[in-house]
Amino acid sequence: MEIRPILSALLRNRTGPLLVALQVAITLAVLCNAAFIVQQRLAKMDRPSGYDEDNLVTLQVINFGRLPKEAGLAAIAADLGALRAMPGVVAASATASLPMSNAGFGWGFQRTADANDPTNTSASLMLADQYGLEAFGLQLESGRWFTPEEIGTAADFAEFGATLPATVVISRALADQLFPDGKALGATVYDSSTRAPATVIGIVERAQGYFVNNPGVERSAFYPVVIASGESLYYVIRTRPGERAAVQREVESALLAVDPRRILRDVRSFGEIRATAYQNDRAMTITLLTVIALLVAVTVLGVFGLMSFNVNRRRKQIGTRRALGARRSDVVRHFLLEGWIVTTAGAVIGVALAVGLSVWLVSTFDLPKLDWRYLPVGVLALWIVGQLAAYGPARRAAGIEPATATRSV
Amino acid sequence: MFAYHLRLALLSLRRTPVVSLLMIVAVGLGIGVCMTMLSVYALMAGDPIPEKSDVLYAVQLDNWSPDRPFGEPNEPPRSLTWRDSLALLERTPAGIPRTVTVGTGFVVEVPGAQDVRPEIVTARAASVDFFSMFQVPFIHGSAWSASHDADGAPVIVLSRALNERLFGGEDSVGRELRIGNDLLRVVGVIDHWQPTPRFYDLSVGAFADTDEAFVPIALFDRHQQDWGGVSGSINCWQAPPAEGVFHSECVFAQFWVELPDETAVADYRAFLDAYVNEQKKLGRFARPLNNRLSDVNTWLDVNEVVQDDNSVLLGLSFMFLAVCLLNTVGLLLAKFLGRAGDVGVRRALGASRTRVFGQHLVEVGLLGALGGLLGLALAWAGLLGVRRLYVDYERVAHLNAELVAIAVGLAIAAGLAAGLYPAWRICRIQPATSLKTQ
Amino acid sequence: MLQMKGISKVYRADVVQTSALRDFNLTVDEGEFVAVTGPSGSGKTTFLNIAGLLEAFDAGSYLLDGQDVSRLGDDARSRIRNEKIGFIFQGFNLIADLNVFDNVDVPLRYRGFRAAERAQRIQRALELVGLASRGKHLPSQLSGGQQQRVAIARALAGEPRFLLADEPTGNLDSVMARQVMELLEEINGRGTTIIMVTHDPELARRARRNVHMLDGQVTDFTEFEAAIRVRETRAAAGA
Repeated sequence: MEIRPILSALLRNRTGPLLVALQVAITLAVLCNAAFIVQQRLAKMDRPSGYDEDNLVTLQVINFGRLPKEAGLAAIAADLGALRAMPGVVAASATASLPMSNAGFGWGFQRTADANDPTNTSASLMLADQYGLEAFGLQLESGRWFTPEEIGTAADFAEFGATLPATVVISRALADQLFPDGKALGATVYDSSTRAPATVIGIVERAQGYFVNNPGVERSAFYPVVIASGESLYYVIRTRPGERAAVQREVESALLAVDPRRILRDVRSFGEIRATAYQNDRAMTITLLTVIALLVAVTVLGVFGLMSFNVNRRRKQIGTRRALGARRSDVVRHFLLEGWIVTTAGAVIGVALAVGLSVWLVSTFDLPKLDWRYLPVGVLALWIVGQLAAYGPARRAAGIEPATATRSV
Repeated sequence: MFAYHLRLALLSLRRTPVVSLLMIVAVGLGIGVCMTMLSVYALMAGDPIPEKSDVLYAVQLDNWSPDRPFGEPNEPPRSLTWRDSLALLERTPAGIPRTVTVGTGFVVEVPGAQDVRPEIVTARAASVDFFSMFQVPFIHGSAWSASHDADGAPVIVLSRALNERLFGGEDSVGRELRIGNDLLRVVGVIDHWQPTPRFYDLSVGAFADTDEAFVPIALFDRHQQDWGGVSGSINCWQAPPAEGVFHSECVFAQFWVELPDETAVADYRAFLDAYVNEQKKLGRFARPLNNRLSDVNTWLDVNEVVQDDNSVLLGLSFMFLAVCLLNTVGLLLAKFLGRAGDVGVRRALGASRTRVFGQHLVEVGLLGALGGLLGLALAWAGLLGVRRLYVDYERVAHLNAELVAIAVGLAIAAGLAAGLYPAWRICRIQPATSLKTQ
Repeated sequence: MLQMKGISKVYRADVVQTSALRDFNLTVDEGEFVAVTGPSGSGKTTFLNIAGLLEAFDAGSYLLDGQDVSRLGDDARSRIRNEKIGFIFQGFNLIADLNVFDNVDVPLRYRGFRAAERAQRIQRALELVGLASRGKHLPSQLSGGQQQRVAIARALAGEPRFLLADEPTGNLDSVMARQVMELLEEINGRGTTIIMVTHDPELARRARRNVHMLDGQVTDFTEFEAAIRVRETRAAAGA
């Protein structure tokens, strides 16, 4: 239509349109980058952990003082027996730390016993007994899980460090990292500090480690060990579908019935562990979405305000146009086009700004580079909300009577 | 004149309630969002002990693996081995306050008390200078005597909250507590004390609660086997020996010294270098000399207490504020210029440019102040939201007087930033224009 | 009182230049009532704007009350407008958001009078124009004639040395126009100098002196006062 006259009218009174264009520009820059970060966080939170999360209950046991080795092992066996006897429980297992809990052993594995082996790879190390596979609900991809005979015992962590087991189960991600050739099962891996060897007897499809913010979270390994001291003792209980809440309610009394002189802490579903693990990501997502929503709202107000102001200022001119034969639809179109021009001018600056912002985020905070596809989507979104914002004032302009032209004020 | 201008501003507000409200909301939103992010950021980036942050130094020694650094490119570990901590504690030259500290936890019982349940407390082993160096306030009793650092006397200092739970808040100095098989005598109770961030030990989170109980290091050392052990991160580059992590190259202890000036810092560096060189002769410390002394704020930086997410959000929130202000500038401009006729009349009747400018600045200031109030309310609500979103920030995300002052300042600055241009534009109105139109 | 010598003013649009005043000369004495007439575009309004220090001019000199006002800055000009000049506009130019009292108050505020003095002056000015009881009314609640009287009260409240009126009756019907004229004559009778721009010859004739403008210059003086005096002399002689 009549872009040139609209453009020259905008340029004559350029401060208002310029301000709105700048708003659109900053909004686009923030919108694209924030939406990109949100998408990344959502993808991160959406990663499967490899555990049967819906049906897991976990808790920590703290003894008053330290138990001797035999007594400790007997206490654990008694507890696990009581847990298994609970209605709705499928399996129960003892371990020294919980995955995704942001606390646990970081361990190094490598393919040879050399001191400077470049294959040295970090992984989350978890301790498990023969029930671990079933209790965590892990998917065994190849090989086998530990037999009861393989489960080693240690009085405490010091003894464990001195007598590492000879077998290990690793996650697919760790297998791929150590053995790009795909021959992990049956191979020997070495603990990178003591260089003690262990045979890979099984590979689980997926078992996320302790630190969800660590890029290596998918790499994990299980040693068949139970620590007797109770220095750090957790139980993992898998329930039948739908019975988790009931088990979670009853578990404390079941264990205190075995031995009341201890403290049971953090009886939690895996969902709670996951929520804690990802709380920063979730908070970031919610905050960014709030900022995006408010930002778009303010920008819509800006476009709306500018268009309303322009319509009011030009009542007489619009009346004259109507008197000269412009249809209502022509007037609506005129103002929509005007809004579109301002939005587009802003979008052009905004694309540059978005790229600039992304460069800053990448260089300062090590965030990944903005996916360019967010730019056209962002522009499209702003076009749409811009047109929606301009529509109201444009309709009002179309309602101006042609007779306005002949009135004096 | 100010009163007159204020009256005119209020009148103008009443005449155009919708536009005025939009502007107040825009400024309020901008400030509210900015303040929320700024509060969280400021508290994270805050100085936890402003009077002494430049004289307290965290010590780092590089005992890491000869094959690789603790952190790229050549970062030493962020805590010390137990044996180096004890050695530095003993050998640090006289006159220099020093402390070694490590987090622990144990179950405490009040002997003979039936109604008080045993509970697990987060505790801290420390040497006695801890209390004076970090300005820990006492309400009852005092720290243990310096000799207990070495003799391992069974004494304990309680936090105010724990003292309330165990002894109903009374002066419990002299009372006894059972931990494992030992009886410990209470020597002091500290008042509420919560440096934020908890700079003295960042290994279990920068915003963790302060500890509920404190015991001398020698006592802790003796009970490493039967109490709760170390809570916090233990980092090892080689498997600990059978005697355990207390006798290993594993790091988990924090070591602090108080050094009054540059000379003292230089002297202490030399002391550390001498210590490490001596240890090298014994076959330890295979890496090149890489000792660090970081004052409190440097230490917070090293430990990346301010999370990237918060910096990103702060940056984005300022961009959001910019959009809100641009919005307000546009609305103000439209509003002021819509009143050009009246201003022309005032100019004709003898109002100078300065007066017209002043009148509009007062109006802008009023809008800014109202927007600031709204922003403060929104920031308060925003922080409520932040506390719900982040469990760790329960205590950090609060408004304090300083932040309220910042909010007011920000509101005024924002109002002026948004209002200067429109006020300038309107005061350029020629008085003559009103005669020509109409 | 007012002395303009060789004033010229050129308006520059993007391409066109329009001369509004060319070598304009006029002297007005204390106590005069001067009507400035002329067709549309003759420069009447420009003259009024310059006389009222609303607009700067390009060349010439302007003495107001013995003071050279050609080179004054904005603040000084504002003060002179405020203290020495009263304006009456064709469109009344009351501030719609302010009531009658507050409208009259506007120049007094800028004058810096204390509250009591302002209230007294406003009361006096409103009494003079016969609207003392309408202080709380908004302009929109008054008739055109009343609005113009409020404007006159506003112009008078600061007791200026002279009044500038731009088509003061242009937007009024004939009855109200007459009332306003009578009011102006009464004010002039008390010694206030009045310069009135009008295109209405009827109105102009009621002034004591007429200045006719064409193309930015004074073309014709009609000294009614002199004429009247001659008539009066003759009448006296004849009697």
